[in-house]
Amino acid sequence: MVDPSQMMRGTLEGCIIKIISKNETYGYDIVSKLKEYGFTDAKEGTIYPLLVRLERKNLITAKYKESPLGPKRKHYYLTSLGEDYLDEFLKIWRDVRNSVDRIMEEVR
Amino acid sequence: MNIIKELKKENNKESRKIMLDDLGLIRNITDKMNIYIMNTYDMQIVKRDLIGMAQEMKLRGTTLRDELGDNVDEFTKEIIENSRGPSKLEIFLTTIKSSAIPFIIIFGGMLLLSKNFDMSMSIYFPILVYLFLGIQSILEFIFVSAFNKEKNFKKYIPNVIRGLTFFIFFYYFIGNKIARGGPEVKIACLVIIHLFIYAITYFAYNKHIENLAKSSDDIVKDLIDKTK
Repeated sequence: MVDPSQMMRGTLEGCIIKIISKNETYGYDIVSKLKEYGFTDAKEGTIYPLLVRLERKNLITAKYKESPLGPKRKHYYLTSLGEDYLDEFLKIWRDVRNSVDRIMEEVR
Repeated sequence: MNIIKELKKENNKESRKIMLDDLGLIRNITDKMNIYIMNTYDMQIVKRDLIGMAQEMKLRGTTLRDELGDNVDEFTKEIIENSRGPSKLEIFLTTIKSSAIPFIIIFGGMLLLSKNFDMSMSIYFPILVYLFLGIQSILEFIFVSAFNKEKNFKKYIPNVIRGLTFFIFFYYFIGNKIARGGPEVKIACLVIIHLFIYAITYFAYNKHIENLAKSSDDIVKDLIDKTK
């Protein structure tokens, strides 16, 4: 049986980077956007380790900023390395999607 | 500026604003992290992020525990695996810095209490203690990393090894004549040398943490500078 959470997890990194590429953003906002686009299981607890990983790989960077809701928020920004990663991710994702689509449609 | 001290102060201050249950949960998570697994700077930043998350969740009427559910161990494991990992230089400096303290306290205390600044001891004693601390650090590095994620009795293995090495070392060497023979060294000299070692490693440690902070864009400055 296909485990949807495992499949989604693999693509989550690319999606998070895409969301951050649009505007600087913070954890809760990323989760809201992911949910809006169908990652209904996304939680801050799911994405935080991924954000730690993306920061370690220098694909994103962070800054603490004042928040209207309580404590200072950690805002994430895309780095130039992150931009390159996003381009590469999109290319690979399109190739994989095309291949999977073709197999699903054409193989009888 | 002592970044770790400031971060710890900031985290202690902010942790008072979160739910007690979440505070316990964050402690459970951070207790699984130590310098043999993750550098102290990253540990404090993770703690700050979790406290921040818990504060926002409290204001939204939910909790960090609700958010993480039963996945706390998995969450902790993923953070550790995705982090920059331990810093060998930090482990080295921490070991030297903390081993200088007992020398200063015990021997400095002995000198002050006896008022006999001419006292001396076998040179083998401090050498053996350093040897013990070195072996202990290597064992910590190997065993704490290996058993840190264990849940059952295996998680106590590092403690058993600590106890055993301590017992074997002190029973065999310190209790033995090895640590009493050989050339003698003035205890006052040892105290001065260790004060010097402590001061050097203290500054080197702070410098190293500053470098770790700079390599992650110095985000801590956003937290510390404005809250003073």
